[in-house]
Amino acid sequence: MKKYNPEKLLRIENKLLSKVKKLKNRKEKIEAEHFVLVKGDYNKINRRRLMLLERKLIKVNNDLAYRNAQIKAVGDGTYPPKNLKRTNGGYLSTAATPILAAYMEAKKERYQKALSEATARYIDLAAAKRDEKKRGGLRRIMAAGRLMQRRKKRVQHYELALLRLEEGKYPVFGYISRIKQKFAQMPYREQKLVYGLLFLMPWIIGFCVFFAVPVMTTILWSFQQMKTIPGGGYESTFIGFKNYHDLFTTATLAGSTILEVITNSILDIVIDLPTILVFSLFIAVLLNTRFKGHQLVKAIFFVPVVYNITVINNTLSGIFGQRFDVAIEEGFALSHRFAMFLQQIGIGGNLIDFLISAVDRIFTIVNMSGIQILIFIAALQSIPKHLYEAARVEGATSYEMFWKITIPMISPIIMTAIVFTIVNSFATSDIMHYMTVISEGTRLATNNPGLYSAIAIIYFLANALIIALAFVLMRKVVFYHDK
Amino acid sequence: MTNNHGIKKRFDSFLQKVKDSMNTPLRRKLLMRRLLMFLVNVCKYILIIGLCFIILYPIILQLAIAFRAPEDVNNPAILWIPERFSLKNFEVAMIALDYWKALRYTFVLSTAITLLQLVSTSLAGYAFARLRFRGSSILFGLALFTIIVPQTVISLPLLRTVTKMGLIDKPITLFMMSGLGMGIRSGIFIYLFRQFYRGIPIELEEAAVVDGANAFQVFHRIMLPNAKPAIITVGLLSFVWQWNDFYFTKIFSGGKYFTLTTQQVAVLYGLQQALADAGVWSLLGQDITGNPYFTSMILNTSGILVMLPLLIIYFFVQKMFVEGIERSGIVG
Repeated sequence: MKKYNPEKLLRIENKLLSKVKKLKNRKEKIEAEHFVLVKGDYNKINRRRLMLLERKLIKVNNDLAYRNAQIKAVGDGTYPPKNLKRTNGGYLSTAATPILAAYMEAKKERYQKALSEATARYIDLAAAKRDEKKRGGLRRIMAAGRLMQRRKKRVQHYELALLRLEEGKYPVFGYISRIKQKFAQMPYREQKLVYGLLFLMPWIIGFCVFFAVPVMTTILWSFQQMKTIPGGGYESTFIGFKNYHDLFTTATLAGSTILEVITNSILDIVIDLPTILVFSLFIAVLLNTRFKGHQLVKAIFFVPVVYNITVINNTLSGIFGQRFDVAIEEGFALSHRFAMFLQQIGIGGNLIDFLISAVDRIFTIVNMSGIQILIFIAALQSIPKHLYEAARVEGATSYEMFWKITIPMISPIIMTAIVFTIVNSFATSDIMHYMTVISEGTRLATNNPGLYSAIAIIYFLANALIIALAFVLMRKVVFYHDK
Repeated sequence: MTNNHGIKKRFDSFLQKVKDSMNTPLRRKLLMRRLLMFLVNVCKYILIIGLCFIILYPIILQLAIAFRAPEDVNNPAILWIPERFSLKNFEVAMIALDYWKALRYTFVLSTAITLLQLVSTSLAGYAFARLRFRGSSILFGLALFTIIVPQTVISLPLLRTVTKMGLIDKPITLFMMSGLGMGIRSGIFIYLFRQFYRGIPIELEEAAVVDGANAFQVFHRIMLPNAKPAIITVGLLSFVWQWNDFYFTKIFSGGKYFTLTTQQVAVLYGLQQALADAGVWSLLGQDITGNPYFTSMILNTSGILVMLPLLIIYFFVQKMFVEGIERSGIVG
């Protein structure tokens, strides 16, 4: 046990004494108010305030007892005392009893009346149902039954409270314990609802404040002409679809029309998407097999996850990057020769263009597919091994197994990867360069918020369209294991 | 002489072996298959090494540029390996980035936001996975919807709201957003957590509920310890994305509170000015500083300085991360 020297004990005692003094003061105040309240008119009394005062009184009394015991322990030389706790809870004082008894009597009568009404209604409904033998109406009867049960419960509650008041053992609860009691009486399903809402509360608040309201505002702004007022703020007038009309005809972003910019970013996505998907699936299949050094290779392949795409792009497209490009041109020369060969044997120009642009973008593609590789590897690992064993026993080749087992089993994940790729392209596409609110290039956001909002919405709609298209195209292919 | 003889003997025996293995059709087939496998393996390794090179190419490039002495800027003979190693570029880039201060800010910001994101998204993910009620699937649809709406759509009104609240230029906005589940790509994290929690057997949870645990206890004692792989994955991704984020950080934690990425972009647009402000000109001659190659060199060096801490962290958690991904069954 801790021992204190006499000086410290003295200090403790002084402190405790001052605390007791404060508590006594508070107690006097509370008791005075309580006295006034109790002696007042029975019918006009503020019962809520009375209960609050009772609760405070109990707490003060408890605290006083606790401090006094401590002071006594200091006197005995047994400080700090063992097994001393601040007791909580307590019973209503006799002064308050008659007031509450009268109140509860009245309440009980009211509920009893309501109960008899509900019972009558329930019986009526049930009898009508039995006599007329018509279909339906069961839901109403059930509702009436539930109402009856609720009324009954209230009546029982007040009866119990009256009984306790008579015995002088009416407990006074704090708010928290009362909420806890209510919660414990709820059925499991409702408890789950409460917990679900509690868990989701931060997200719901965030969604409303940081998402729903801004999206609505943007939609509103896109239909408005907004002019800056000297001294801050905007003056807005409703102009219908004029912003959208301007967007497609006259407005420009850093020299090129907005339509061009948007088309370019969408084309980028359309080219990147299949390439990234095929590439990352291929790599994932490759990495899923075990070979010498596969751990090192895996570590290297996930490095793009931590890459800063802006920095990488700056490096690759900077003056120095171009100098290096010339140096490794030989690698690309091969691909160009291959393209020439394809052209000579008469394969369409579009395909060649696609291939060339894909090769030119190989760095971008490799660096953008880190997460997709991750997703695909996780998917490949989750395919049950017995499927492959069964196929092998039946004599399937590994080519067949890939198309008939692997692809269908991971098809839902392909969908996830598609969505992720498109979303990821938002953040890196050209348009973001002009659309940054504090942009270094244009000051569109501050000069013309209406047009800015219209562009943002058109861009979103275009992307949503691509995603919807992907969903429609993939719908037949995607196979859900549990359906 | 004897040596030659030995080689000949060995060659003969090898020939004999080949002949033996060609003896019967079955053996021939086996040999062919082995040869094929060998070829496939060679191709595979060539491919893998090539791809590894492509992935590491930007880093190699940056390193090659960064260690070059400023005097060698125009020397076309030097390409990959610098002739004279020098740390001068790093010195200059560090001054331009205000490196140590920015690093400290970035680290604090990323760590705090990662923790907040983890708390809010794992709670929401658990609610979407297990505490389902009528309408919760609609809410989940809205959560997915937040993923596909680009930042540009919401940032302008958000900026106005934040300015009105007087929270502009203070990182508390970022904390609030990530703490309320609306940080950078929180929707994806919610989705990941939901899929992961759905994969944990419901019997575990039911047993705990029967033993008298409430939802918070179930979440804290049963779900979280089992969700380690998902937590590692989400934590790393959140940290990295916050580290590399320019858009939100620039908008909501303006001039005073800068991160490495915002500094890097600022340097990208105003390197000359930044260097002049920092008084670097006196360190180097005029013929070097006016050179566009020099600007590019400093930019690359600052780029590697921005990514270096992340690469080091990744190097340490890499194994855990890969295992986490493989076991997390992100897929569900």
